[in-house]
Amino acid sequence: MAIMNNNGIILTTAEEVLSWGRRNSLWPVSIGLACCAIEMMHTAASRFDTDRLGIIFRGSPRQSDVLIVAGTVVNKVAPMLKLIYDQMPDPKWVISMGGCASAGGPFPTYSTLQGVDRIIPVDVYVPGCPPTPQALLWGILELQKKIKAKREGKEFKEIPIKKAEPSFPINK
Amino acid sequence: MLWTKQDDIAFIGDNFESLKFVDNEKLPYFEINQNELLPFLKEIKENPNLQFKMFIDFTVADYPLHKPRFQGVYFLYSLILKKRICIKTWAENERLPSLTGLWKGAKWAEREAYDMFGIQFEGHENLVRMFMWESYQYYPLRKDFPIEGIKDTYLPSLNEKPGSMPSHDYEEYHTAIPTMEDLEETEKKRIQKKAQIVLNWGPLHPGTHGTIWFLFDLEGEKVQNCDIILGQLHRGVEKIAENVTYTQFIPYTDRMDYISAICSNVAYVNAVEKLLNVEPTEKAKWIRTMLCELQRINSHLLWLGTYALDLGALTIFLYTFREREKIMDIIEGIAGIRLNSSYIRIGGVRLDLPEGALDVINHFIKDFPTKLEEYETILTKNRVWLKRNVGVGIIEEEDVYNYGLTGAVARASGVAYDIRMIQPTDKYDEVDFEIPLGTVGDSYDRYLVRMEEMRQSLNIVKQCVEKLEKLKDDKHIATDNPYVLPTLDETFISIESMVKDFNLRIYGEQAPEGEIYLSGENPRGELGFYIISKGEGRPYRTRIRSGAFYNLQIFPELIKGRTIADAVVLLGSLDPVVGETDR
Repeated sequence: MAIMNNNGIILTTAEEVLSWGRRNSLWPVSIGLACCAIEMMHTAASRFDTDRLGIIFRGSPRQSDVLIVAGTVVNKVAPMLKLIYDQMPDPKWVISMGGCASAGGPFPTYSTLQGVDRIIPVDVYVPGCPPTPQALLWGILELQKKIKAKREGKEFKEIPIKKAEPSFPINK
Repeated sequence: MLWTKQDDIAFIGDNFESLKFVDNEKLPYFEINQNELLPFLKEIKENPNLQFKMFIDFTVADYPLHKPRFQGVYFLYSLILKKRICIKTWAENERLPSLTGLWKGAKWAEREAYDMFGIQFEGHENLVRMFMWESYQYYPLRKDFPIEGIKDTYLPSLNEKPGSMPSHDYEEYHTAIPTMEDLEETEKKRIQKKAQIVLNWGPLHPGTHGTIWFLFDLEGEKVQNCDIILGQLHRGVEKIAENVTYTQFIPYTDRMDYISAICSNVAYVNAVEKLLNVEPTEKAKWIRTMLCELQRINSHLLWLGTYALDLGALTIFLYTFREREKIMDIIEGIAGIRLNSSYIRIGGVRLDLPEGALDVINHFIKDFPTKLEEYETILTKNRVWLKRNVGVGIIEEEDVYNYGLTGAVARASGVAYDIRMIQPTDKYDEVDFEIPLGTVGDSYDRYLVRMEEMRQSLNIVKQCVEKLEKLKDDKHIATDNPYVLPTLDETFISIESMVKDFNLRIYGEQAPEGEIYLSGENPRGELGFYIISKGEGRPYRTRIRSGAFYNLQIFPELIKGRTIADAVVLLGSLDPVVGETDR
């Protein structure tokens, strides 16, 4: 909501500038857990190149504001993942990449966490097993929309869930 | 590969009263009493006419109705006979003697058996949990333990709002999650602080190639003692295998070693095919061989990129990923999925080669050698590269046998152990290739061996393409066999195929009773599948012998006395994948 007057002066709010800066410089923590990490690396590497979106992978959670949970979270690593999430400074967002991180995926077993949203709140779920780099980029763009929507005071509109209704056989 | 039979070891047979030979067609094995096990193994290891020096695998199978309940299974390889041997023994009172005195490679395998089955090993130096944490109460691979675990912790989703429809099928109760204190206790049991400081490296660290947790006991910069905690990606794949049909397990094999998915598929499917007596079609065999080798190049490229990245050469990372994208496009064009393709089926492959696939591969074959040269120009004679790699982590030939190292790690130490040569599956006996061998066995040799392997793989791909061009009209899957799923077209056209498809998908492949051990040469070493079938649609037990698991085991030995900076080099040159080590 920036206004430019005739003298070339831009008028805007501090919130607007902060939000613009935040959504165009999302710095994820470089943590790979499983297969999805390979696709995350592909997203960052030569062909898809997330640098052009201002996304630079950082080695330390203290310097990052996005956590991309790429892969299966097992019970043993869950407390440490939570620790890393807690170490990140606010504001922070979480992208849950792939079926395993979102809901346990194909591993409904004794040792797998059935969805990373049981320990940390998730902003964007990216489906796939593993999601392609394009899908991850979609997730990041979706997160940018969410950050923008929050600045404007409205909640990011989710797709309304259609409740299942009883179906009747078609009579011919 | 041939299996050792009664005649081969007849001359020592009289010394052991309880030694019994069972001549199964697919997996002949010896059975021996527990008290004679250690002398027998010592004898066949040290006897100059036998020399079963190489440790392949150790595992346990659970038979709840039998007394004693657990059976230990050992696999060894003889250097002279060029044969494997399978030895079984029943664990009296849930105890077994430890083999760590004979083979150091048994250390982790025994820890795993203790973790998964609760068997005690007498004489083991530090018997702790391998994958789960110390205060975990259950033994998951026992038959009476449910696959979904004991859901006793209230752990609701933070995103699900009360009253709204949950986005997926979920329960609010969950299996127990360890606390930080539990993990601290796990750590303390592994390593006692003797020097200055215990440094944690991992589990969530960019340099650890996944989620491996290293503990270094440091004196200044020098590592005095080291241990590794695995299990940060233990997803219970072996437990899943017991609960799904043979075909349903194929997608799990590529999620194990996700960098070389097709190689794992092929290794598993070959084992199942041998169990079911299914013969895949000629064309399918050639396609498998070709894709395996493409996948090997793909895997080695990832290794090269990340290895160089860890040592500070970011350019190589970007270059190799450029090439990887090309291979992944080829695989996506053929299989439909980029990474975990699940393309191989029992009896053949899922889809026929699409039009133009061979042209694209031909183009890649022409293009790739120049790219490979590019990498070598940057790295091979690079001064920094040489200083970081030469003389680091020298693996002796004896250690290769002792730890059961396989793959490029073994070949860099001069051991010509390649499953493609000694037990050719698919079409490896008809293609011409060489096995590069190292001389010193240090990190630099491992680098050179893998670079040469890429060239050899390209050579194999070339031969396969030439062959496949002649086989254009052949069938890609042997659907005549009763165990093989019909193709989609057949299912829609004939009712017999539909019934067969239904039966196979619902009840699974009713495999004949028996056992099988078959391995394939993965980029990471020997990936073996030991399947016990009880004549049901699901395997009774599937043991996965992972190459990366055994290769990683030598890491603590190699890092001792070296500086902490070498840890990155060593780990990169051993090239483990956590999905496979933890399963």
